[in-house]
Amino acid sequence: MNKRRNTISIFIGLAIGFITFYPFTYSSQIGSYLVGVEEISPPNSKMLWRTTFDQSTYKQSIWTRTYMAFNGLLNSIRPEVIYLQAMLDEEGNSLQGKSSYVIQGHSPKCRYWSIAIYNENQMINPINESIKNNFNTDMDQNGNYKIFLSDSSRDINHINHQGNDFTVIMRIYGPDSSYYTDPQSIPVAIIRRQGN
Amino acid sequence: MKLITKIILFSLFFHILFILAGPYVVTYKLDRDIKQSMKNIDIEKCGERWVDGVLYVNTMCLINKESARKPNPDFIYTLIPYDLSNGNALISSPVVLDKSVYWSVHVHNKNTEAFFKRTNLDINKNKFDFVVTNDPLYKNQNLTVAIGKSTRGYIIFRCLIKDFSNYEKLDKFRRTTTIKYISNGS
Repeated sequence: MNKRRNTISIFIGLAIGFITFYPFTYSSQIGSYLVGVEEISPPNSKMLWRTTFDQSTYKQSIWTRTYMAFNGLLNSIRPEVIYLQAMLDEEGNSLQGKSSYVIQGHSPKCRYWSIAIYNENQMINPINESIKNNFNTDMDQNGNYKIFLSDSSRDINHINHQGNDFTVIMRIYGPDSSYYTDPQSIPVAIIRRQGN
Repeated sequence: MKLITKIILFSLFFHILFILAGPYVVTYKLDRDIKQSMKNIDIEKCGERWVDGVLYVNTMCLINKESARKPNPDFIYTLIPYDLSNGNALISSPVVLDKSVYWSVHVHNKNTEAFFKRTNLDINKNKFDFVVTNDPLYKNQNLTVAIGKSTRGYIIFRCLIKDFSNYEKLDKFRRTTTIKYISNGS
């Protein structure tokens, strides 16, 4: 009887252990919530960008290490980079391949920044249409940009999601050091769905 | 012990076990992809990729790689898997002097944690030589030393492709990267 109870508890424990581990293996709301120590919202918006500053360092937790390994193998470390991830638009809806969006923001103070989209963990082909950066994005004289996301139209400030559901990663390389002490000062973009 | 208590304890045990093993699952897949790259079967499509211990990654060829987790399409990556059971690793790499072009090197333990980082803002020469070791007492008066914790790990170089038409030029530039194993006394 006791042996049977032990076997049952091991199997149920194994199942629960795996179920609670699984959200750390892909870009998930639960996983990013549990390891995302910083949540940054654009002004007047409900959408969130999540980041963790200690990724890939000895300071990170074991959960962060696993989440970051599965979601960005061999990441750069602070103070070299800030990775920001957005999985929802400003209305709190997931980013869908059937919709078009505009990403509107202000250029951060850094050496180089980029905004790229991914389908799960993979890049979206053609890769050179899945990313924009400070070198190839048209901005106004104040550093404001508008990047359009869709599966059809083409112009210089355009990312093509090819009809894939996606998440957005903003990378800020060589960021201004004040961003680490005041994360809310990072000028994160707003992602707005266009049309219906 | 009550059944529910046992279930909670086993759940915790397996959760922690999976979480600790997670990064090694990812690096296992990476090692598998590296072994595949050593065969250089995609030479035409991806260029000659594995040369004397250095993997010259073609970002276009990462699309279907299971180990490639959200790579930055803007970067040209060069990867060196190291194994310090052969001695300390002496790494030599060309450095992009143009400071408007982002260039960096990171050294990671096997569990993906990084313990060393330099960018081209830190280096004023067109070549960077450094030693990777896991011996905390190792010293080298002539070279920068990166001290990690594991015997095996990865060195990753990132170089920004400002313009995709420059890819071939950058690819040629990085191909003087080398790894050589040296004894502790060297």
